[in-house]
Amino acid sequence: MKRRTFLGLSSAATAAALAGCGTSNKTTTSSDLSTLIVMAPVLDVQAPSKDGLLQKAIQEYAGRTLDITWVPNANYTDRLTVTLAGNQLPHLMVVTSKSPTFVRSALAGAFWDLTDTLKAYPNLVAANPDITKNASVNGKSFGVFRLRDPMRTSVTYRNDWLTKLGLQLPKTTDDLYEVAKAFKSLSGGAIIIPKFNGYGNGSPFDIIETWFGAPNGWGERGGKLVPSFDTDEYLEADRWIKKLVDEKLINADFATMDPTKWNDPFVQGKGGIILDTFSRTTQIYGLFKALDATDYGRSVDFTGNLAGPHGMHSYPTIGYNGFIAVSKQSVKTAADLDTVLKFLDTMSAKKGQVLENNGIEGTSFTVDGSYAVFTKGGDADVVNNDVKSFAQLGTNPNGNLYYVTKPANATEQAVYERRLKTQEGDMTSAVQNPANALVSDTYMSKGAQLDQIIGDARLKYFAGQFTQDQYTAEIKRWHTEGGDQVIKEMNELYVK
Amino acid sequence: MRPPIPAITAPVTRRKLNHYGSAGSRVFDTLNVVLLIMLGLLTILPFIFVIAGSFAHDAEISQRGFFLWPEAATLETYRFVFSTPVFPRALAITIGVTVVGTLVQVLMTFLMAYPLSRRALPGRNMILNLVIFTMVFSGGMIPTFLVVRDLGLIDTYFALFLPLAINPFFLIIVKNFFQELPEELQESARIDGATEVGVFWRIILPLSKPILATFALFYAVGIWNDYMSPLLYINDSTKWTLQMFVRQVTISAEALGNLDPNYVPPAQSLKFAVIVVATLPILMLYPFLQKHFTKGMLIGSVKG
Repeated sequence: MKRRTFLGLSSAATAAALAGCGTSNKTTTSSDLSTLIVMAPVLDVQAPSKDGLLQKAIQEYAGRTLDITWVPNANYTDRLTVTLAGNQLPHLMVVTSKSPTFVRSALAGAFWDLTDTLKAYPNLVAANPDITKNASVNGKSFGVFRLRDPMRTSVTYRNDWLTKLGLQLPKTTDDLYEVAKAFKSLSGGAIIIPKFNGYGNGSPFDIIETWFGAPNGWGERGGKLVPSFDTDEYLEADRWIKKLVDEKLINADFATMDPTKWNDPFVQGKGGIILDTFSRTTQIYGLFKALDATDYGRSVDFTGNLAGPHGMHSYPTIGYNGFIAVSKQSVKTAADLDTVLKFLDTMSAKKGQVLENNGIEGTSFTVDGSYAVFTKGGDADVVNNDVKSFAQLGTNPNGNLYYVTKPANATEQAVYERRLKTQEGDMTSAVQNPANALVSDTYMSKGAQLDQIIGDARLKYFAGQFTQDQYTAEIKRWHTEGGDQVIKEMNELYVK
Repeated sequence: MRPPIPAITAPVTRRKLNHYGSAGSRVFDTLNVVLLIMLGLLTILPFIFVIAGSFAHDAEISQRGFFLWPEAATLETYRFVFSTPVFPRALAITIGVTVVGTLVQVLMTFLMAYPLSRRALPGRNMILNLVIFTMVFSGGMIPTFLVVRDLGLIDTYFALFLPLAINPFFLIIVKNFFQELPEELQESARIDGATEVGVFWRIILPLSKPILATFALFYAVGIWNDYMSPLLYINDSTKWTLQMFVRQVTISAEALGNLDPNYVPPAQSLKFAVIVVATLPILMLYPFLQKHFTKGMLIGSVKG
């Protein structure tokens, strides 16, 4: 008796186990697009709840429900890779960078090519065509890009030191040199630079090289595309930086300092100049505000790009941070694509942008002139938190039409207005990188290694371990170890 | 029975560090102790810094660099951490998944190890070889994801502990331990009328307490620290575990700071507080299982 029940149970167990071996045909949703499935990264700790006020308001405005999977951005690329392999793509997907996996899938037809289709949607036409170029893959747009500030370079200074020394804000690199020397005599340090791995990632060195007239990454010289480090201006810039390092005007641990601690030496008074972005300027203002809430405006100041010895050249950003791609597998027909793009178009209209970037007018914020003043308490707090995540879904290629947060006081208002003027002025001399749009196969596979050669050689040259000849020898090594192939591919793609 | 001590070099009762008490070996011992204390400090000081930093203001962390005691202690960060339902819910979920997951994983490991320890099992060698094969070759991220998805486990808590339920290395150690137990015990129990299951429950398991404690701890720590599984398999943000938050708060700051101007990185003190909240519970488990620990690790691996 016992033996029979044992046999019966064990065969039932085996059958159950084998049942799992069958393939399940999980098809994605059919052409019912009343619910759009979206995958987006979340930067914050709390993702919006699907029953939240903000999501309901957006769904009501757009006329369809949204099924959003929020993925922590720290590992978004892993999730992206797995989703691309998994064959169950959402309708809309935020793609954070042109990774090799994405480029391969897009060129193989996994995503709709929107280069010619976007023209039909008024709110999806880019206000700045340079950004469309930057966001494309060899000229093809595989998604609607998410607009970001095109010019963010800013140099932050200890203003109280400038006042003490009777100096003005620098306008040229020579001015910067004088200010740095004066700062050093005052406090022992001047420019603070942390470790940047590789090359071409917006480090202060890249910024200075652009100021001196070198191309931003890649530039056209004599009708062909050449990498920036092949130009004379690049070497001139690096010689200037080396001079600063030798005179101890740059912190000695520039090759090892942890970039997450960039603000600390500035706050501790170990240096007074930082070359980075406006985000950093804002952070530093915030840190000084925490230390002295009334007088902090006098301690910090900033400028935009500085003029080099050959005129004004500004270092721009690529102008976008990822884009929203539409998968061909889940959005099957051109009519479906039209529906989805109409949704994105609606969200890029002024009202949609306000919902995604400000919140619900009246409930979570009020309009004051051209600014938004955020309310506090209860529902408003939840919406204000959700807004940070929904801003990730915003594309705004037609420009930012939402309300900017009202600055907290007069100091910050003045800073904000000066910042806008500085950015506008710098944009007229922005040096774009034509290689942003180009995807070269060799660069995809070997790019990181090649960049490392230049980055390391540059650091060693500054540190004194390389002479200029050894430095140029390393650059030659870049050429022979695959760089020449990259140049060839870039030029082929450029002409096309 | 003390070994014979040469009269010349024998100082008095010295027994603590060595029998002979020569100056040389005492120096060696002191050096040893000093070195080990320094090593211990090196390991524990950063952790104390993290705990101290979680009680300090952000500006202080920027200003002071490294410190072990905050000048102006504040509970502000912890109040913030627990102010939204987000962290407490993630904590509850992680604790729940760890408890249930550990039970399931330990049960499955033991239930598989016991039959494999019986030499009479037909196909035993083949199964053992397959187990060792999986130790060396693993599917990888994408195939595992496809399997989990096809099993319908996506977005369920089961995906957090079922896919990697039995660790082959642990399985082999437990199997060896069972093999060490005398056959006579099991035979006598069978003679007295116990079924196989009865032998397992009533004889084998009570004898395996040290092993049980050891692997419960290992599995629990594994599930607690795992962030890859929730990241890949959980879609619903209300089901996030603690590690997702820790990673989000500590790592995303570096990854995104320069790219997205709309992003304000979390304060340093928040990062520290989140680390403390995520590590303390599992850290507090160790003292209770410590004594079973050392015995358990050796028993399974060393052949008596």
